[in-house]
Amino acid sequence: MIPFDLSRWFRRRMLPLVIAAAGILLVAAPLSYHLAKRRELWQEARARAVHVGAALRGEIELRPLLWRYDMPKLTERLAAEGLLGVPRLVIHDADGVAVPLDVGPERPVRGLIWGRAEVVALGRHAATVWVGADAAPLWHGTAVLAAVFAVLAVSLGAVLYLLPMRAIGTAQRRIRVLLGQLALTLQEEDRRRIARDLHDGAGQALTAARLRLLALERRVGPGEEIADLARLLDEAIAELRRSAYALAPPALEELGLVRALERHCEAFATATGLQVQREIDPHLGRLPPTVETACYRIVQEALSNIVRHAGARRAWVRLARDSNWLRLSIHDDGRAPPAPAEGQGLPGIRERARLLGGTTSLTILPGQGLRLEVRLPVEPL
Amino acid sequence: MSGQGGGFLQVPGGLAVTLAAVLLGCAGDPPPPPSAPARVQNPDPSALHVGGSGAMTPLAMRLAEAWAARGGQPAVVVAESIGTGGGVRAAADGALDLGLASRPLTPEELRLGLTVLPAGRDVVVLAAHPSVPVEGLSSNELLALHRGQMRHFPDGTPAVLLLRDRAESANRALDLAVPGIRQAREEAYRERRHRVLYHDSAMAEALRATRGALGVFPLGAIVSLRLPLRILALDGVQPSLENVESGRWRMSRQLLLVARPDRLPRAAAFLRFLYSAEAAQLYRASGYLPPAAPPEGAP
Repeated sequence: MIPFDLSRWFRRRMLPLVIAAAGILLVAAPLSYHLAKRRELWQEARARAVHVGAALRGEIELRPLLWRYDMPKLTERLAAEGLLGVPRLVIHDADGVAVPLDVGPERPVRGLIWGRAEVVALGRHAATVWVGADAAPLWHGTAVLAAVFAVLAVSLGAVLYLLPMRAIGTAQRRIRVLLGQLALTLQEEDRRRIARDLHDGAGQALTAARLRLLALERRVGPGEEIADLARLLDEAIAELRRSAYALAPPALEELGLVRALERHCEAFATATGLQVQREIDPHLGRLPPTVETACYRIVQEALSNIVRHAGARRAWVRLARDSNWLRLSIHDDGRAPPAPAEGQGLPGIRERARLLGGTTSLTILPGQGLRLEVRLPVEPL
Repeated sequence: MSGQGGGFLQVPGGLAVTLAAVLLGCAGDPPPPPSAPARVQNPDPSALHVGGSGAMTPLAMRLAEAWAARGGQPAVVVAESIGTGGGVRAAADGALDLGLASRPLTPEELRLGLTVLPAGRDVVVLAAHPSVPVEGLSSNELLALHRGQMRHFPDGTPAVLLLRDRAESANRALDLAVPGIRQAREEAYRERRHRVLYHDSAMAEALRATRGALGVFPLGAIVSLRLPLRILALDGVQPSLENVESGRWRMSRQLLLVARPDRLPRAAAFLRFLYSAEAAQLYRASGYLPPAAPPEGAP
């Protein structure tokens, strides 16, 4: 029906973009925070290392040979001055030998960010100081931020993807209905044109033939052959009128759906002997022409099916409006088939309903016939 | 088209390089490498290197001067104070021939296999800036000073209590003499109520430079270095070598020498001098109590 599937097109092009945008949102803020905080911790560790190095330089200048043995006092002093407070402090002398610090048992940490400072004393490189900052709060903060931004990314992705998809879906359904309405309208136009042609062409010709036959009968007198011919012509004219009426029922346009259906049901009952019970809401008012026509045609088709296939004595036609939906139900007391069968007028009914965005359902009522239920949207989808 | 394609490919490459640069710029310094193997210290073999507790350092200097004056060999070089713990570790590493200690060795230090020799006693006193207007303090006044309840002397002069670090053995001597002082001192550390000094030299400088200052300090350092400090009585008892010997003044410390057994032969001559009557006189003149007699097995 619609040559171009907008949903698929949009999905194919937008989904990677939406995933990329959500991914960037998910990663960018936590990564930026992580990098900035990591740099801050690094600079803090390095600043502490520089502080420790400055204090160490004084020790080395005072005790050039034995400074490494006085480190416990230095670290105690630094701790008292608040210059330590870090999970790791490592000092190597100029030969790369670790200096014992007596800073107590090491606190277990999951990750460290190291800051380093070189100590130059007495004109030479004397020691290297490393201060390790605890990276656990950094990872914790990053994880919290990532969790928050994951929620945001998913929400944004949903908004960026689902809202347009929904709008496209709605638009597609609307287009489908409009195209269906257009198809039905064209179909009805065709029927009206054919009915008009029948009436104005073949109908007029038959009527003229009937009049000429009357004139001939007056001139030559009545006869059996003329009477047979007149009867045949009358039957042809009547059949042609019925066909033209069925193709384009004038009552629908003139009377509206409710009264047209009433009239059709009465006429159908008279013509076929089927008792048609009607429960048609008299307050339906005028509906869109395509809906009225579809509803009328479906009733026509369904009643014809009942007469043709069900062998029913009675049928019930119910029509009501439920909010934006028109609910039509046609039920008979005939022979229900063991399973719903196609090809008994049902495809046409289904196609009409589908073209307008409606639905059909057929229910077999064992021993009680069939029930056809049709829902047609009244307002545009 | 090919140019556009190349540009498209260059963008991720540029981004990757930028990201790598940012990551490297935030990664931190490399962690410390493993320690190089510790080497055996081997100071100048022509001299005897001595160092450790600041309480004993002035005495060691006086003894070294006397040893040099009498032409003793090898020459004795006394290092700046590194504390008892540092002296013990340096002696164990061989960085010092003789380590000076002013407290008993800990079990860990005893496991280092060092030879421990008695080296006399040191007297711990309450030393004060000359401006301090009192001759002595009671134990209660000392407690009040630690607790921050007493901030002035009776004439209104501000009282500035100076503390030594937790590891200082003079604190242990004070703990024996004044019940409750240890807890008061720990509270003072926690609340950072008073200034803390980490070496005898820094304490001496602070006592000398700060009006109203007082703190625990070795008598030997005051005498040996002729420091212009006032020595306060405690509960009416004046600190002196005689009062330590009589037991009236309880704040004193056992002094020790520690050495690796392989270094003892080099120190034998100096140690004989240290246990001599001449050295005993020097001990007393310097404000220390000499060791009673050389221990058995001493060189």
